[in-house]
Amino acid sequence: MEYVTLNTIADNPGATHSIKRVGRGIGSGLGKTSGRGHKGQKARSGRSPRLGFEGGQTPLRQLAPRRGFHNPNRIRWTPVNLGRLQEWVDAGRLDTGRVLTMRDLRDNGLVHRKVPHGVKLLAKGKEHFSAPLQLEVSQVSAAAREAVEAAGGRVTTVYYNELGLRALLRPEWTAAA
Amino acid sequence: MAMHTLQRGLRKLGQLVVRAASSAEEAADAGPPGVEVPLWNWRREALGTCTLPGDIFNVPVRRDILQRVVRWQLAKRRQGTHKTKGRGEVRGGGRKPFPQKGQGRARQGTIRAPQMRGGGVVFGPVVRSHAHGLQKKVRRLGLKCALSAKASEGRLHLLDTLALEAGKTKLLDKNLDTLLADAPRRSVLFVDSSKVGADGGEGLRLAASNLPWVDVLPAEGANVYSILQRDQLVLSRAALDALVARLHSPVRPR
Repeated sequence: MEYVTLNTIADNPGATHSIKRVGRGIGSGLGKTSGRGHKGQKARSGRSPRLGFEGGQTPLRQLAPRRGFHNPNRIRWTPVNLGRLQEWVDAGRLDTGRVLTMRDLRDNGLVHRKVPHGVKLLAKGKEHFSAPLQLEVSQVSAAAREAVEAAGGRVTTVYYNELGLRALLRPEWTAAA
Repeated sequence: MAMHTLQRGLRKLGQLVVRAASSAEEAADAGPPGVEVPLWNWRREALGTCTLPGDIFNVPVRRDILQRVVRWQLAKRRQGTHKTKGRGEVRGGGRKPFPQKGQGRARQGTIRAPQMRGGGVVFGPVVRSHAHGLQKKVRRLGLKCALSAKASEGRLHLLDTLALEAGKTKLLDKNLDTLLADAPRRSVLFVDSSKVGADGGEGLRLAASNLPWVDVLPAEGANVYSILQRDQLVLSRAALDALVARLHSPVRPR
């Protein structure tokens, strides 16, 4: 058997990587010009021209027209698809017996941790969806609602404003105040 | 600080609640089983057996963690007193050696530039510390892995006491012939309870000082590098108790 001694321990492959050392010979691939090509401003030490500078040609930033306006009340729903829900149920990570709120979906890793406005249920993967789930989300697409009800579940849409949603997702934050 | 832990704890609780009921053994999980080790005296007579706690002496051996801990230990003991002079530190070289034009030679500004013979070194070593951080929990896991490795290889021995009748090297040498009779080579680390303890102490250290293949450490000095350096590990009862108490105490006292 191989004993555990100082010469038989090593870190896992991929845990470290060797740094690029320029100017150390032909074999390294980074000798002589050290990855800078031949001559020109970019080959010199010191500064390069500022980002976005195109040598005096009108840069793309200036050529492209401005468009649109910024809506401070814009709502972005965090999506979750039926296919993902089905995976979670198959792995035993979802309880089909009780009503699942958006807090359960976030805690379980089904949706992204940042949920600024709410969760919308979408229907990608509805062909393989067959779990009877009871969900409470902010929005649901027509196809997703059909698929869930066909499987024997129920979707209820609920409204939360931003503060209310934060209280739902992080009750310990409200308890502190 | 407590709020963050509370949130993390509640989040984990949330995950457990939502998960469907898993197998029953998860509820009754009490850690790895303990390890039975015979208790000897210097003459290698069995005085009984001891059960070493499984969560310290029976953990899966993570060689990558052992490597990280050893690297951390060796790095932090480096002296780091290495230095070369750069072009600003080499003595002289303030004057332009010859005029800019007319000599037929390459233009030079100073005799101590890096391209000159006798000039300064570019980016040479500077005096610095090589120590780097390593999470306390990782260091502790490393110690547990090292102890578990020794235990699973059968190279961990438990003695009631490491005290010798006299602090004589000849005595220790003879004792080790009995104790390590079936070891392929003699290389041993003794861990007693302290430098002045009754179960080793001064006498043991005196006796071992001239034996190059014997190391002695107090219980709080037990570390991964020393444990892996030597083939055999011999603990005294008191040292074992101290070590277990240390490894069972919280990593971060609150």
